[in-house]
Amino acid sequence: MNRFGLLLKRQWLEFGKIYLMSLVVLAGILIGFYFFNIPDFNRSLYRWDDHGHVQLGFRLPTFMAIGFLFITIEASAYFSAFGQKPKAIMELMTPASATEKFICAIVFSTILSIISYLLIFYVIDAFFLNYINELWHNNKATNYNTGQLTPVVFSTLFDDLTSEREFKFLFALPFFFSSIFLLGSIYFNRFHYIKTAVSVTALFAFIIFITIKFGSWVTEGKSRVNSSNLMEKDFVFTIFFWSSVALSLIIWLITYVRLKEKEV
Amino acid sequence: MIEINNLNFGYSKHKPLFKNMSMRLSNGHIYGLLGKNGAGKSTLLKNLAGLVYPQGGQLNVMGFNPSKRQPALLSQICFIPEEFYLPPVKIDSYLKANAPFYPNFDHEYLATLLKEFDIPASNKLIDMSYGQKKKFIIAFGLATQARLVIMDEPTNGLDIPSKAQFRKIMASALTDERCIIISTHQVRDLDNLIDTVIMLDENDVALKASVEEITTKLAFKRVKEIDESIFYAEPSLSGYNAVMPNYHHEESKLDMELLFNAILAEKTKFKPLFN
Repeated sequence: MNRFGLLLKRQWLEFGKIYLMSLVVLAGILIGFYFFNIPDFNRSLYRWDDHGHVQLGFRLPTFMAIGFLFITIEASAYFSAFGQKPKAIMELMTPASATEKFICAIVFSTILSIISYLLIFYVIDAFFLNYINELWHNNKATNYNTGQLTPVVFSTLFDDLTSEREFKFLFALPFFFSSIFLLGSIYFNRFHYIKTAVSVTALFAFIIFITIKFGSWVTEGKSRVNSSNLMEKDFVFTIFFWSSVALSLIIWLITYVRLKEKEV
Repeated sequence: MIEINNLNFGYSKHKPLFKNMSMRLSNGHIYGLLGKNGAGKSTLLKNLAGLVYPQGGQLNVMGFNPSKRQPALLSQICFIPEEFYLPPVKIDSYLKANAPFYPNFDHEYLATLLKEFDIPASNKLIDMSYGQKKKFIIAFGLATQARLVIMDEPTNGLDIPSKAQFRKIMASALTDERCIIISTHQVRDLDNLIDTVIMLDENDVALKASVEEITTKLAFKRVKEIDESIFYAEPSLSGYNAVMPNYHHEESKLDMELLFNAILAEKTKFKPLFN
């Protein structure tokens, strides 16, 4: 435990400065996005959610796209040192076990990056909401859901994330993407991010192609029956959620084995 | 300290570097590891440090299998590679981050070594020259008080005064509990420092003998003419530098470079003497 603490401290002393700088860059990008997307005061059309709040259309795509980039870049950078012999020797000769080094990698590349991203996004979003809610203070517009004149209050990030009931099934995705790019960072010696992205894209394209081909072969000559069975839909999303959890764990296991067997 | 039994290793299946190599290294010695380019000096050191895995045979380093990379073993190994990396931080920060991993780390000894190497403790590692960095990493490695010190070409990049300092420091760093292995091409840099010579050639150990054993069995002399008793000779300004069996128990100084060339050229002549 003491050694693991030392390892965390060592990694922080080495990467901490760069990590904090990446957080500053992230905050700058997010602030830029928010300022370029301040809602138009004279606009009459609003997107209302079920809670009677006005939705910010740009927020969710921004949250997901920048989140994806930030988390995958952080994960892809973690083991990049292993691609360079002198750095790899220093890392491998550090007196800590492969398990400790691996857990440390998960802490920095996944847990810390996801938490810091959520925190930064939440803080910037909260400031921005505060600002625009002040601007719109005492303004009213017709809510098309209720047909009533309603005070304009903008939705929070939490409202956006919980408005779609399917959204909760995506909560394992950041861990899944992070695990893929962490594996890429130890698997490839150079250009980790690009090579991982290309490999994953090719793999997914292949899987989608096979699935479509298999699907059309199975359903060939059969007629389509429209069904909006909620149970069936939930089952599919549950399978999706647990598949992403299982795949993340499998990819982490492969990364651990790769780290343990790394030679210089 | 180290036992190598039937070690097999190669970067490709068709080109093995070591074939059934066996050797035993003990505490209280400074071993000089010599060999041609590509003979496997650095690879042998990496095998001992657990940076590569043997394809066959057993390695025992201080009772551990280095392939398992157990922290208890890693904290007892000081590995100075030929090409190394130091993060862009101050010496103080580097020590805070790395020294606690070594239970016997001696900060006072490090301060003494840095002073001897003329490196100010307030320096940033990134602002140092290659030679200064090398001296720092050597000082740090020795201050860990690791029982096994492995150095790959440690004198590369050191200036002439630093090489002398290095020899002095290494000689004083040897204790009864420590085993020091130095791989080098610069054999003259290690004159008077190493006490046992290990020479690698053709996938195996071509020679492993103490300096005392070598000078007891061989004589290194300057001769005017070559006769049949001479194993190997190289022309020099005033005749030949020759290696020959030391039948008359003459005292001579080991010429490591000459021995190296002699072993490579006339391995069969030397084998009966050192087997």
